[in-house]
Amino acid sequence: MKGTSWLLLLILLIGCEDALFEEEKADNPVSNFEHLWEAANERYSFFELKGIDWEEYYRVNRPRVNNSMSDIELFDRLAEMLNSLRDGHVNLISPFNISRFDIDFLGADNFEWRIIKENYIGDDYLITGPFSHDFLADGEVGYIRYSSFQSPISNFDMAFVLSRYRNTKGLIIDLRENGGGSVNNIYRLLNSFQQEPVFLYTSQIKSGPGHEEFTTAADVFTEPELPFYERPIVVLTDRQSYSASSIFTLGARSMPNMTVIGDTTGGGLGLPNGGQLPNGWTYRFSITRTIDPQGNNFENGVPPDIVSIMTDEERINGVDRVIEDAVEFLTN
Amino acid sequence: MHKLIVAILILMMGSTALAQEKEDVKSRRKALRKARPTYFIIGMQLSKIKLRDTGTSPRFYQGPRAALATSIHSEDSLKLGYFYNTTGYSFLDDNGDIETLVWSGVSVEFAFGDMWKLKATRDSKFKIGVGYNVQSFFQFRTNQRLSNAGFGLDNLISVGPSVGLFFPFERKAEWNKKLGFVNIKARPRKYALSMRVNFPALTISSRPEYAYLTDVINPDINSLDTYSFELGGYLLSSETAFTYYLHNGNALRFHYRWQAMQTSDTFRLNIAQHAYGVNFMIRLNKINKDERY
Repeated sequence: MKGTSWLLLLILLIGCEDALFEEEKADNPVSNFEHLWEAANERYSFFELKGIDWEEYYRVNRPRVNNSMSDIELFDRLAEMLNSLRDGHVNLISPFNISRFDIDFLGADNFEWRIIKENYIGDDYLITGPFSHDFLADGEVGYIRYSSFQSPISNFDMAFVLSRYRNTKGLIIDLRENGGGSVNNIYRLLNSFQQEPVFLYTSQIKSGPGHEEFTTAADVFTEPELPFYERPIVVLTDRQSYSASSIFTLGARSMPNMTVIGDTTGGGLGLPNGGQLPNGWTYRFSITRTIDPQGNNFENGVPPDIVSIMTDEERINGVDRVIEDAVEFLTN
Repeated sequence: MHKLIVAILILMMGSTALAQEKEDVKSRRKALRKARPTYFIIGMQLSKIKLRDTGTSPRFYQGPRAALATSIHSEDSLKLGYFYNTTGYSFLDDNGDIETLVWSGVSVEFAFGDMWKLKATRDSKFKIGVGYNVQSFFQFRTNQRLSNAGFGLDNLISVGPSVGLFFPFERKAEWNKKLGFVNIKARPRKYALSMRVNFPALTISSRPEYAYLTDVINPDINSLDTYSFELGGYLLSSETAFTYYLHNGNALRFHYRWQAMQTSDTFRLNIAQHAYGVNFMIRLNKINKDERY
């Protein structure tokens, strides 16, 4: 009898996790709205910087959400709320649509690859790994186009390109319309442009629900590695130089031999992470911040050292004003 | 003076006798340990896993886990000692009607413990044991759809008491039955049914830190800096097993293991596992005469 009681007690303790775990959140428009608002409220990095009153967004938008809404209506409402963050790293992803804040419209189009091919590097330029490159200005300047930080850079790519342009007066690294990618590639490039470590910026990650609750700022330095190219380098940027491109540009401003020419970048210095709503849709938003050595937060766009923007007339005439300015800067 | 010498002699004799007794107990224990049936177990375990990581989603993910299970098992009428490991791969989805996301990854479990069968129950049909259990559940999982939050390294380690119920039984005589033209014959055989529940007294968990980010801007950051190590939560488990002893000293073992675990940090991780295992037990030490049929 005693043994049977034990047996019953033990059986009761088997397979009862439902009694231990909290219940799953309800899946309805109101709970999805509440979940997304709260996730952003506790994790998004730039409320203070952008002067966004997120509580006010709740007060305005919560009454506009009800449980009889369709999925499309709910999506539109949530997307509208997220787009108020004015951040290219913020998306809501459903099976039928992806919300986004379009950085393309922050400034004029400042890049035309066809003009560069037709009037600057021809059609016999080299493609080495992720780089399209060739000589400009009668061999005095090397031009390197890096179109995406998602493309990995190998040791061979770096060695080949830097060796080819070792006798030039300077290099142009064209990051226009480079929408970002892996942060690792930023260092793969910057580490070869100075033999001494350079203090680039500080990085912080959200560490709690408070809008300004971040980890202690960590200083980020280059870690020089061979081969080196220490002659003047010009980085070309436009409003579509985003995320990793902006972080690279922020670092370039600290490098003694690098100058940024073009338009302000699109920003996006905070790294995004993702999550899911009770209804299965996913979202992402920035949860870190990157500050330059002077204490500036250029999340909304890293300004160039020299502003250079193509006019419509120049575009029609096949002139890339930004490259022209860069060549002049490097050769004079 | 004379009395003092006698007292010293008595004390010396007493301590020698005590030392001798201690030595005897030690060697008896050693002999018992040596004679205790010990097995190396190898088997397959299939589980149903249920996982919710509130750091990334309020939804439960469910799916199978297939694992290779190995263990050392040592048991007699006085004590049970065990060590087991399972290494498996799981593939979980969120069962979404609208969209399916997948967590997949490798997980490794370890557990060891000892259990002493209570003297009062040693002669009864059901024997009760009490002891301790240490167990750990570690997993590396990925979910590409969750951007930079798509990697999770979770580890729970729990120490606590355990209670067990043991029901060994046997068929002592040969059994014959004729069913039509078929003659069914069953030889004498030993069996064991056991059940164990492990309670968590102390649990430590490590998992991604608040921001849940592994791809950080600072290349020098130590990956452990982005992980939290917390005291709290729980890892509760039970095991029900049926052992079928073979006549060559080896055995077959079928088990059902259940685990429920939860971390204690801001964003909780819940995991439940229902595992079914088939194992082959290979006897490592000599078979005692009284064990044979």
